[in-house]
Amino acid sequence: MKTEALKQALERHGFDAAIGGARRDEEASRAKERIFSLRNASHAWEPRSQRPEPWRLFNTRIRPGESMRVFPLSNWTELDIWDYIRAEQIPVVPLYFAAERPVVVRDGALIVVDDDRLPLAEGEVPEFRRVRFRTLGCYPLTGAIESDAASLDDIVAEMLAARTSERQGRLIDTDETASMERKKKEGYF
Amino acid sequence: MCAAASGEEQERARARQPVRERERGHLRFLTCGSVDDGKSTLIGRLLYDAKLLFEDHERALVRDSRRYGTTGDDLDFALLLDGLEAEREQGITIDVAWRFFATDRRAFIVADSPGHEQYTRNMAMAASTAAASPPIFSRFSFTIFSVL
Repeated sequence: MKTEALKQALERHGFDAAIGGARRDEEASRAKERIFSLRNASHAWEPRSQRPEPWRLFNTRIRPGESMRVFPLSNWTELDIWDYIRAEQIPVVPLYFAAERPVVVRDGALIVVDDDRLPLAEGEVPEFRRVRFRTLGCYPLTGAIESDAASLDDIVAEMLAARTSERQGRLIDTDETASMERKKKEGYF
Repeated sequence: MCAAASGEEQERARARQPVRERERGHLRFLTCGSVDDGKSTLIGRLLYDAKLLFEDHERALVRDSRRYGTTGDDLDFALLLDGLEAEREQGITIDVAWRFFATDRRAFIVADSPGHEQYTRNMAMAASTAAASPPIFSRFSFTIFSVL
């Protein structure tokens, strides 16, 4: 979805840039990405030939066919995001707050059963647990966490005490080492 | 800026800054030195020793050290920073890694920069955003950092 569908949409409308919310503290290859991230004509990220961004000066010139992914929140942390949401009372989707939801356990991840996009394996019976999402990726490839955090204050408190990283529930990251980088080379956001 | 901004507007503008930054201020620093002097290793070690790593990142470090490590059976702390495939395969830093951590007193942004002369422009970019750099001289750097 964030690779093929994105490429098609960008090409169809001829966009020069697409703005995203990725942050450098999310993952090791993202920690290396520019705020204005150049993509070549086939939408691939080329980490070896990134443009310098000295003193926050951005070179936004692109050749025909090239485009940019722009990440204004690059230097925010997970905590900054939730602090800001709390300070500004920004509405967020309910999946970030704990509730009783039907889940199945797959490879150690809690997968919420929502609709028929998740065919149940034989013998799998969804059970209700109190869970929330710390991060939301493609369904059904994001695991929930067991949590009682039902308010913004609870979420911030839970995050301060967390011993695992935000993206731990993203199955896409843990395929193998450097999987995020490879996906970006294929044109992932 | 409009000089006649009301108190309420100022308050609102203040709230727009990330709260952690507003309360404590960030110190931005970078590592800077010759290739293979241990810049990435130093920052990785700092994060590890200060218990600033999440458990899943520690597990990944063990796994990655086995596969890409340049330090025998020991953990290769540079792999916490050198996140690009090419960096791991070559055992050097190519581009700047930005890491964020905080103590009770202040927040830090560290830019771990490459030492290889081919990537000097990336180091220069990191320096343009930083306020300070610890001196890194080969293996003595660990001693110096513990004194700081």
